[in-house]
Amino acid sequence: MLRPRLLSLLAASLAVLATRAAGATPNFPDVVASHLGLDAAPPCTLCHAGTPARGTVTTPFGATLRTRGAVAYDEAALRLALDALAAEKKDSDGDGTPDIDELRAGDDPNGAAGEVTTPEYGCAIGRGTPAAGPGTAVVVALALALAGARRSRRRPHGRRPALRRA
Amino acid sequence: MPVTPNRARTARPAASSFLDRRRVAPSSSFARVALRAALFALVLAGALLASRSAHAYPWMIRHEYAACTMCHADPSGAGIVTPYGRAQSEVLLRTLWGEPDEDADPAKLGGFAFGAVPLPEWLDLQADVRSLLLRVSPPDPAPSTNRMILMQADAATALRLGAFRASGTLGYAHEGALGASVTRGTGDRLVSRQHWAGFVFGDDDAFLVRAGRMNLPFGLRILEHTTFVRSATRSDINAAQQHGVALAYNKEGWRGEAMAILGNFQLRPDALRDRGVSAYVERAFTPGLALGATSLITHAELDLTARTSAFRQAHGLFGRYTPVKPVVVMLEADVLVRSPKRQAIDVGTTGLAQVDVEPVQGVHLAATGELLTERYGEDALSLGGWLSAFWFFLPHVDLRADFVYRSLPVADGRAGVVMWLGQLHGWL
Repeated sequence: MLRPRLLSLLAASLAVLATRAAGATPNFPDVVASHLGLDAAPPCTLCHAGTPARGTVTTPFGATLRTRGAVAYDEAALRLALDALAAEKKDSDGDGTPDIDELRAGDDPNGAAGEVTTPEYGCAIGRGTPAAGPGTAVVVALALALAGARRSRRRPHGRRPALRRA
Repeated sequence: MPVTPNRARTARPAASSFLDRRRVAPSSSFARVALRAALFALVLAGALLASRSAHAYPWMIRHEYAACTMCHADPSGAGIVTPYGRAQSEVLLRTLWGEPDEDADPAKLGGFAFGAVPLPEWLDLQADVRSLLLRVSPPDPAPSTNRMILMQADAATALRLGAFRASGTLGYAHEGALGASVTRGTGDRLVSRQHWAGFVFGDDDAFLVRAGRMNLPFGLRILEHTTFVRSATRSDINAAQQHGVALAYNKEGWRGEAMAILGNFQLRPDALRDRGVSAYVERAFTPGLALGATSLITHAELDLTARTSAFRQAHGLFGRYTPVKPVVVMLEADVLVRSPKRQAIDVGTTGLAQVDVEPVQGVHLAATGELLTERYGEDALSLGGWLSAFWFFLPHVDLRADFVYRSLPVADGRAGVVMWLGQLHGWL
């Protein structure tokens, strides 16, 4: 009796889940774009350093927005904070150009003119300049070399403990 | 020790007898009503599904599993599971329905593709899909928002060839998980959260040295990657992994791992990369009590907040305790230090306390409290509370629902944000 009910409820759950996945990062990038009249929504890295999550709003522009009352997921508070920055012509990165003017000009309000400070993500494939540094391949190659240099040890595969008993 | 080596081929009879004793009796009206009510509540609320990246269940200590190596390729837990871990997902993790089949082999049903595709013993494969329904209610007058997010669509593999070990993941991200990006851009991308290789050595393969992109060995390895302790220390298992070299140890009640962080090579420019060390050590004093210490020190040439080079530190203690089998208490407390060059040092703290109760096998009710302040002496304390329910209700499938309330500091006081999360996780 329980199983048919379970399956029907599961089917209902899956039907709800089949709806379209949502668009970009939570409402903020689109709000910034629409409120300031930008051509495109800015990346999450405008405010977040690394993973967009609590505690990562640490870019100069993001930190400034927080001090003007921006609250996570609060579109109204974000608009008020943007208006405050525009009114006071705040220049978070100290490059001489106000943050809002930089955004409208397509520049990065987190870095001086010409300075690359906005995080970019991804490996060498895809668009953009190749990643600096040795890259993943070198690190993995190092591990392979270490493993290869070590004397081969033969041991039976799949040696595992018995499943836990009560 | 609960571990009994060299008995892999005897696993099935042991598991069968175990099933006999721990099976949920569907004829029990209490169990049936409770399970029905839980499912109905989950569906009715529309709160479907739950967590983040792959498996990471430190509350398995309730079954005297203080260590992670038996069930995970990662010696510190989370991610692709071993054949032993797959079998345990059938024996210990999920709700069992009906009379157990005497011939049932949990290692098969829990196996890759439900055992339909036998794999050689040196190869593990896994695929995870996790979806989230999120409702956020910020303070008035801002409107509530509803979103659906594909949190995870990853394929993973692990190799065991003699002493050689390797593991890697490759997946698709419609949004988020930027730090794990393989392809460029902020929209639809390929992501690889982990890819590492190394070898085991020592008695009982107690040591594993590996290099590549790995989860940071720091604190409690929990699914809830947006908790303050994980986001503020940048040690979540969603996308905060770093490239580096690590040495792990697991034996006789001790487990630990130290990692030399070389930076996230999937992040540019190089000046933004964290470099340093991260480590933890944990001692299981009894099968149900484990206490640990953890530490992280990194340096970046360019800290985006300070606009200069800065050191970032986190040092803390964590513990797991199961006073009685259905209950697990987990704690973590960390001190946070950020010291930019020629600027004032910021000192703060973050903490988490979680109680997980499993009244019926596979059904979990959890309460979590958390706090974060990144600067002592300022009125900047963030507080959070989670009420969670998750259910491993079928093989390879689980549901989760969370209610989260956070009180955050704002310019003119405090603001409360309410979030409802529902997740569905399926894996092969």
